[in-house]
Amino acid sequence: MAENVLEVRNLHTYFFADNGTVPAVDGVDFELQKGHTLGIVGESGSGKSVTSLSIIGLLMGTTGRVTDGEIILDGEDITKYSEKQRRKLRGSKISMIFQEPMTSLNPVMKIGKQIREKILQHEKISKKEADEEVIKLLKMTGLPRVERMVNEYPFQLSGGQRQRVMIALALACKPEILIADEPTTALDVTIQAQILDLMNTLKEETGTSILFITHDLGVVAETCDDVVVMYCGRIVEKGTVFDIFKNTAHPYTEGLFNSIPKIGVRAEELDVIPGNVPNPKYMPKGCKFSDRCKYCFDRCLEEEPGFADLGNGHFSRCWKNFPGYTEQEAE
Amino acid sequence: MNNEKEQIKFSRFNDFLRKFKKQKTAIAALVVIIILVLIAIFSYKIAPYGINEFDYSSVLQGPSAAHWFGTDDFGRDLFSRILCGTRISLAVGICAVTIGALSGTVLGLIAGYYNGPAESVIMRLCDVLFAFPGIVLAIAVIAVLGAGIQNVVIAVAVFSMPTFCRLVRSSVLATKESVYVQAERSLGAKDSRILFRHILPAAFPNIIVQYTMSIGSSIMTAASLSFLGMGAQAPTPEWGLILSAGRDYMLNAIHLTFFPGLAIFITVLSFNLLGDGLRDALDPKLSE
Amino acid sequence: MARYGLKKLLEMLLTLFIVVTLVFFLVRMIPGDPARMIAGEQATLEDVENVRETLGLNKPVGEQYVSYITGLFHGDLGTSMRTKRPVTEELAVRYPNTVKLALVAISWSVIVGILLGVWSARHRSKWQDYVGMTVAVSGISLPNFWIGFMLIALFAVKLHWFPATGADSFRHLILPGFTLGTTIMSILARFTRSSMIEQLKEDYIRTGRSKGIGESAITWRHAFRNSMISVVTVVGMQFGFLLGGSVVTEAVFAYNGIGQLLVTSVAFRDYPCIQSLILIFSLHFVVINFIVDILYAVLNPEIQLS
Repeated sequence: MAENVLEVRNLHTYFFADNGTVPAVDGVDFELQKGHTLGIVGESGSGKSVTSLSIIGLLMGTTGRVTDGEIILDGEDITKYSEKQRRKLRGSKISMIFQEPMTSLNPVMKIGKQIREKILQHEKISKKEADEEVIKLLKMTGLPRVERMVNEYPFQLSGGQRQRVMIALALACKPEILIADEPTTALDVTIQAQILDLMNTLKEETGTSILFITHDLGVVAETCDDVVVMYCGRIVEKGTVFDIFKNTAHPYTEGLFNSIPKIGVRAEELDVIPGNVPNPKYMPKGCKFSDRCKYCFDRCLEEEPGFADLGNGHFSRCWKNFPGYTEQEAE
Repeated sequence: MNNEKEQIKFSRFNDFLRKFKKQKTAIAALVVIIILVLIAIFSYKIAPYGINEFDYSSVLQGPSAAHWFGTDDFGRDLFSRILCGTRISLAVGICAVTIGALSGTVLGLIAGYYNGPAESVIMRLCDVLFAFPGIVLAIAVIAVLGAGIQNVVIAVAVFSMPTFCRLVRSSVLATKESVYVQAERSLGAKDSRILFRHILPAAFPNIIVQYTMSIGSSIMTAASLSFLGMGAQAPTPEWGLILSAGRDYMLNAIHLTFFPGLAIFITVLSFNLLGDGLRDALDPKLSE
Repeated sequence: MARYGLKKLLEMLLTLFIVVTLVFFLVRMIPGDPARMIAGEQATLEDVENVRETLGLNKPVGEQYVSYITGLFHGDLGTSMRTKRPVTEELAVRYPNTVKLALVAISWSVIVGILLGVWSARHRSKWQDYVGMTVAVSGISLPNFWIGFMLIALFAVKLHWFPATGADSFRHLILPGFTLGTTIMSILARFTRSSMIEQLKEDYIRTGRSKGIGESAITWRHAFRNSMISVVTVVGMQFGFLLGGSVVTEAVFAYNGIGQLLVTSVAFRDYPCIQSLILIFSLHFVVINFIVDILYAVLNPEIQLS
């Protein structure tokens, strides 16, 4: 078995608002292997972004808090760390790329300075050396006329260019883990492909492990080694990208696949998942997906299933994946 | 369709009420304002002494059981005078801002909705009015019209008008380009319908907040003008004027300056806190 | 940047021209017969004619306007009707006095106001925020003249720490300077706070935090630098309140400045003086706002580089 750079154990992140507590992440386990890309897939509200913010420790300024569980990095549980220790990890061991390249850079600070600031924070080198490092990083992302760009402001760059700058920024200080939260969603399709290629190449070159947050299964197929599917703050299915695509077990994952338009199939036959993500205040009693599931039977409404082990690290949280399930029960 | 619209309006109002109820300080301020209005109405009935009831046997007395706020240099009861002054300050503040808000809103609507020369002229006028700093514009109006409480109302109205004008104009410009107004227009709706059914309601929350805040600052400006001798004239029990008259007795009768100032402070503070609360309850950006 | 600057310069000149014109017509806007009104109720016909003569109200408007403008360019502000001396002479001592007072007020209030606003924003909804905002809302609700009198009562009359009146030394400037600055300090604190809170919600702040830099760098290097763009505009507007506020503050402290002169001139219906003073107040305000517009561009790379 390969070495794990990151293990998440029983993670709970709750949001405490005036009108109630929202369990955004409710008992999540997964591991990220060295040099691998792990995809976390789910709709908005599934808890995938909150999971990533919990790992990097960017919940400040929100009402959210990790209430239980462990996040193990290099054998240490970082949820026990002080804010100061967490800050040292941020940027040096764990980096992040965000969804909105247009607003994720400081509008009044030059590009070069924004990257240099991070390098100087974590490495004891001179400003001149840091500037050289900035040029090297930007060149690595395939940006043109880098020497001029370091003195430009974000508004002078296109969206794709800004996302490349964000990647350069994230890769500064050679992090072990790179969290990419829907890094291509806000970009044009052609630019999307370029950015994904770049990320794949850089992963090979630097050996960085990537946690890839997305709602797009097409992107998962192109980039990920392993996949975790999340629904309502819980993992419903996890496995290798091969198992998830070829041996799809959970009805929710199945639904996600069926809602992707396919060439040669007419649009009206598109099989969307009925209904919406349930309101956290009115969560179904049994399986969280029961109210939208076409296979739902009595037991699903009463009792939430655990993981059914399908072998080769492939798990699914569905009653129909357990050996005792028969078609009759579904009637 | 219409019913649906009513429902949206209704839920928006409910949403506002729900948020406003959480603003404890603003509610307290509203209660104080209501009390002030009641005092303004009934002040002459509830005041223990007449406002110009001289009593030369008790001149410049400090606060006591008989005279809660003490007496002035003519032996008049300061508490009664300050109670009765509430009516003047509230009336001046509310009248002036209402005039300023109405004229500013109309000009702002015209400037925002019809571009072209009308807009240039109106906005240039606002720029020029803004070029006279703060109270100096009000003093200029007094210099033309002469001292007196009516002229203070006009001066303060002129002073608050450009703020409303700019506010409404920018709100109109934002709404004018919105999809639903464009849609209405493409269906051939009249200008007046678009203005009064869509654009004005959209600007309304901002106007209300500015209106409340302006009353506070206008009461302050009016009191300042009276303090400078350009507003109410003796023996009117205007707060700024009472305070100004008390300055000669600072050494031995500080209550003559202290209490009128306190009255201004409480009144202006209440309007400012109410304005803050309304803004927080009406601002969609602040909802979390 | 050059085009932006030129546009703002032209706008300023146009506003100045309209202000000068309005001030010129100030006397002529007096309802009824201006000369009659200015001379007062007990004036004889001769007195009224005298006023008409002095203010040039007997000559055609156009001719008067031209000579008024040429006068301004030659530094001639007319003659005070009260003291019969040139207005410029009246201003010789008073103008620098007011400038000194304004400088004291603006320097403490801008620094304290911004610090208080940033402090409140950083500790949003905690006790620090409530303390900061209580101070600020009190500051905009307390009458300046009242603060002044209470300061006099405490620090001049009771403790004898500072003089109550006069304009001779820096010690004389402490109490009026503090009084004059309170409103601006409060307005700035409130504005800085809300602007900072808005900036701290932006995506680039999250990026900054993901880089592992400390909260004080996040606050000052990132959020504050962005807030400054709008805070600067408000500082410019506050200069207006400062100039206007000096009228009240000078009256409280019997401070020999141009604000005090304005009040006296209004009381004596000394129109040449009133006109000059209103013109001076507005000139300063318009020029300061022009400087603020330029500063706004310098702080905002998008305008600076266009």
